[in-house]
Amino acid sequence: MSLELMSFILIGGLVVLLVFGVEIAVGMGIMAAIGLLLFVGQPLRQFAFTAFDFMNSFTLTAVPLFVFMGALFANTGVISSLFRGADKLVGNLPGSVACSVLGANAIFGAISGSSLAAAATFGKIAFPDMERLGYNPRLALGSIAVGGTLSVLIPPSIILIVYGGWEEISVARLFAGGIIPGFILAALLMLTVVVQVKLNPSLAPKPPKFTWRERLSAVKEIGPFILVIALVLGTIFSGIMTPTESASLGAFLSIALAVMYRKMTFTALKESMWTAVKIMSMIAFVSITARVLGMVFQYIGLTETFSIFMLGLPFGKYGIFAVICIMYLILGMFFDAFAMLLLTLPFMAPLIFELGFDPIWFGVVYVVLAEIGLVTPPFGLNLFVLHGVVPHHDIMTIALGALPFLIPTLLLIVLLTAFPQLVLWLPSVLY
Amino acid sequence: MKRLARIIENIANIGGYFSGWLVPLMMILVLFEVVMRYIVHQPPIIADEISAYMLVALSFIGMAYTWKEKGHVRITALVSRVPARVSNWVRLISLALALALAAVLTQASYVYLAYSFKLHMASPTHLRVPLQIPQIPLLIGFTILTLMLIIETIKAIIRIRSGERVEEVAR
Repeated sequence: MSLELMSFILIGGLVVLLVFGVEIAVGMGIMAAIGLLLFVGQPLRQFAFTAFDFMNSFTLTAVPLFVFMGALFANTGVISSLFRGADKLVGNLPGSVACSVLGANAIFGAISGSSLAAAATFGKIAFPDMERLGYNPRLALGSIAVGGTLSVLIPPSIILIVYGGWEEISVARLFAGGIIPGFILAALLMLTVVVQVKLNPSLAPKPPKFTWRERLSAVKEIGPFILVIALVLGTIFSGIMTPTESASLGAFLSIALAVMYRKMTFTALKESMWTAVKIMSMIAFVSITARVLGMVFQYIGLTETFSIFMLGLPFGKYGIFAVICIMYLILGMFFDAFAMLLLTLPFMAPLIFELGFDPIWFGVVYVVLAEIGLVTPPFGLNLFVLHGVVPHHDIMTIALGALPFLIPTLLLIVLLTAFPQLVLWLPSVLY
Repeated sequence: MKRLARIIENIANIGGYFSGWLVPLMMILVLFEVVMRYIVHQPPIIADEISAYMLVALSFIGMAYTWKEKGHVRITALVSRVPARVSNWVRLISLALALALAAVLTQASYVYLAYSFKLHMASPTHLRVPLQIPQIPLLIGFTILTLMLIIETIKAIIRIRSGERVEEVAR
């Protein structure tokens, strides 16, 4: 059978299954099974071998632990103290509460790697305040939806752990690479709020005036979170602990903090454990089916052919990279960030490395590209999660609110491409 | 039928509950190793290996629970916009496909485990853990998932026959 026909059956079949609402892992698994049986001639036990081989990983152990940590902060309500503190620190900017949401998200991003947890949490604690104060729903919901995406860029990042595990790249170096872009993006997003409110003052009420005494009290509210971040990231970057060990420390500290604030409940503990199970099981199912499908693509020669085709495009290195970015932006509208990463990596990784881009740089840039997918319809997961929290506002209001924030996100991709050192400098200094 | 469905859903819940408790256990195990390394200076060097096995267990034993809680991501942009009659059949077919895949994965895990038993495979570390122990959760997890999907498929058929919607999908 020709490569074209095999590719058409596998990719066409996958698209049909996904469009008809089959779970992404199932769709990939079905096509991988067909590929194994018809085109590769390998036994189906390859699934079980891949499942155990890939998941039996100390690196990936960090995923449920970081999810558990972030979920505990969210479920116990401890995070509202962080939001109040951020409000006092940046609350004098135009669009004060929207800026506070973004600031608090940047800090929450450093203790949680899950964008969905961030969007749901801030939807619950910040949006009622914003609604009461008279914020335009688009600005309010847009800033919360986009703010959540900071969690996947600012370390610890679940996507970077999975990428590191998949490509066998140091997760600690990837985390270090995400820090500077993460804080640049947080600043750019806040600037976007300020510009929007300056251009149209009816979007937000006048900011309150906080005294220096009140601002100093914010340090007390944010302090414990900064301490947790310093301990978790500090132990990783100093080489004292592996990311998995730091994740355990972070999970322990989140329990300690919740107990300290007298907000620890058995329900919150159970909910956080189950959140970790659901995210980890979802990632496991997608990972193993994507890995086997990737093997099928490699075996039939599709991966190599794709690479040769892309490298033959007459656009030069950066032109080809722009094509890749556009592909990711389109795919991101339909795919979950993990599924998109795992499904495309067998194609993209060799191509990206062949083009001479650094694997750590690509991991961070991929996360920024995936962030856009999280807030673009029809499948922006943050939109759905936030809609679940505020069902009286439709998804389009949230999506339109997020739209202006895509400009700084795209600008960040341009900046990272023009100045790769923004990603690579910190890992090179630390390691 | 209802009783059987409840039993299988309870098994999935127990799987989720068990997997959930593995998370704090992993945390304790990994922290214990750190403490032993830096304070007692006698690290047992077991956390890397055992916590990875625990990760395998929680990922697979929790898979049916995750399915039950609609935790496996999918694209519903189209199915949420078609008439109920069409979306019901589409969902039934997709459940049948998921069931077929889960059955394949269960069978694959069984063959893999039998192979591992036959060769007396053990981990290449100082613990020399018989690999069948951490591999068993694959078979357990995929078996529960298969049972869960049998129930979901039967439920979908019953709902279609009684003219109900198979599922509510957010637009």
